[in-house]
Amino acid sequence: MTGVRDELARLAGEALDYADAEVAIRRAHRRRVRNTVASVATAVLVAIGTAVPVLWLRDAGEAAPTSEVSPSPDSKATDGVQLYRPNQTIDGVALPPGAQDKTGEIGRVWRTAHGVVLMGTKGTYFAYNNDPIMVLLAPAGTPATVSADGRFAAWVGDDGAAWVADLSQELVTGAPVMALPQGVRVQQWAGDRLVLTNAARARWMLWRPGDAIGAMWQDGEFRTSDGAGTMALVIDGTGCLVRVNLSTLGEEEKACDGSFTVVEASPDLKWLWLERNGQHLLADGERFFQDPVGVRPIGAMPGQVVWSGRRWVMVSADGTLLRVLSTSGSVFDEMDVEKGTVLVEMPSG
Amino acid sequence: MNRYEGFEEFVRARGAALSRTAYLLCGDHSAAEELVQDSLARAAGHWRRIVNTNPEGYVRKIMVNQHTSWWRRVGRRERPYADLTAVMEGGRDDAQVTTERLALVTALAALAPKQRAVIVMRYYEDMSQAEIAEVLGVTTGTVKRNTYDALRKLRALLPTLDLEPEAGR
Repeated sequence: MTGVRDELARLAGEALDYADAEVAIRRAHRRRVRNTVASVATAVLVAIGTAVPVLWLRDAGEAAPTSEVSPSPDSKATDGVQLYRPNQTIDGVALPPGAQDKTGEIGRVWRTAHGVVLMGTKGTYFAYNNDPIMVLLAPAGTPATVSADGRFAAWVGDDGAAWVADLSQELVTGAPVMALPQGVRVQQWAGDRLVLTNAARARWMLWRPGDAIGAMWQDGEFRTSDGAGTMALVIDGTGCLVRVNLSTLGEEEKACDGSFTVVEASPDLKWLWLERNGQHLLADGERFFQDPVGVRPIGAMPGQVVWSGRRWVMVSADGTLLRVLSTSGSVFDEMDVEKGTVLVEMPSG
Repeated sequence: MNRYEGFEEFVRARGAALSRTAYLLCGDHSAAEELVQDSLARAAGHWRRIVNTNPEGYVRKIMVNQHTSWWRRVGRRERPYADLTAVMEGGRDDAQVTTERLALVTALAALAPKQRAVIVMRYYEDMSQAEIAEVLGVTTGTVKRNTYDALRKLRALLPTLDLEPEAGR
């Protein structure tokens, strides 16, 4: 090993450029606004206490919120994330006129090679890239799931069968694959297999569409898997969160320190967004199983969450506030967005 | 006048250098990014006041002190990424550089934040003991003590690392 100066210089060379002036200014601006609100509130309390009849809040001067900074959702902080905003293009895909009437309120959007999948209150539709055609995939009330690579969609049809659509085809159509037993639903893709769940009986199984459904049910509540379908997170019968190897279906690690549930996970399961008793927490998925106490609380956080590749991005339930969180849970960036904004789930790998 | 006039140019010019220091202080990209952005946001809030002084020194001072403060709050749960002995013994010739790098990261992670800060400022930033004392808001005696303790710990963890004797400038 060489000298400490050389070693430090070499290590420093691995650093990325983390500095972003636009985000820093926006954070400074928010801090000023918060301080102004706090000082005005204090002034009001003092004024009330001393019976001052008139408050002159108009001239707040230097500390007043200004509009010098106009938040842009296209900053570096949201790299890796696309937003669906009502009546605007989605990652270059313009929706046909009247699309909103067809889909109803949109809850989830997936980007695929030939278009986007829109899951709305009136059904799940496929909109081709720059084409006025939208295809109905799944009817209303049957939540669809799209594979991590954006290639397949699956859902349970009105007929109780599992339907699959190959989104990589030029012409996207769904087809029934197999009638499912009563109470069984399609949860999500795990690689090229589907996870079927029976919530009432707290069990799950992996199923490759086209194969017969055997008796390979696993006990526990399936939560999520990595994009490749090699590892899954499952709540077992005793409430422990378990990492399950999907090749062997064996338990690899287990955390029993509290009833955690998984809200979202990065595609490699490296980062976890957890919930426990209404409290939301962030965790390093590799260290969590050795040290479940080391999770970072971030408060209650309703809305949609996705992993951008570097950070957590969330949109509030009404789609008006976008927040970017670092892996340690601090607010990295925050901005107002158009009501109804939804995060677009991008293909991985 | 825009209250942030010149700030973007400053970040463009010095952001990468500040990022390198943050990475040495934190040892991982996520924490370093947070440290840089949090410090820049604080600096932006006082930009008019600091723009004509030494904004880079101001940001560095915030970074070092923020890092120490974070460690007080959450860092006591921090653990080295790997067992150092295992890292050193497990190394192969063709991966020597990676092994040494991992060993250095692990050894730095084992230092207390002020010790880590003095090592980074002294041996990477090439700052004098007086300058380090000013940044940390402590006496030069405290800097010497921290440097001594940090070097002693690094020597114990990395016997092959060539540590220069402290000249005490």
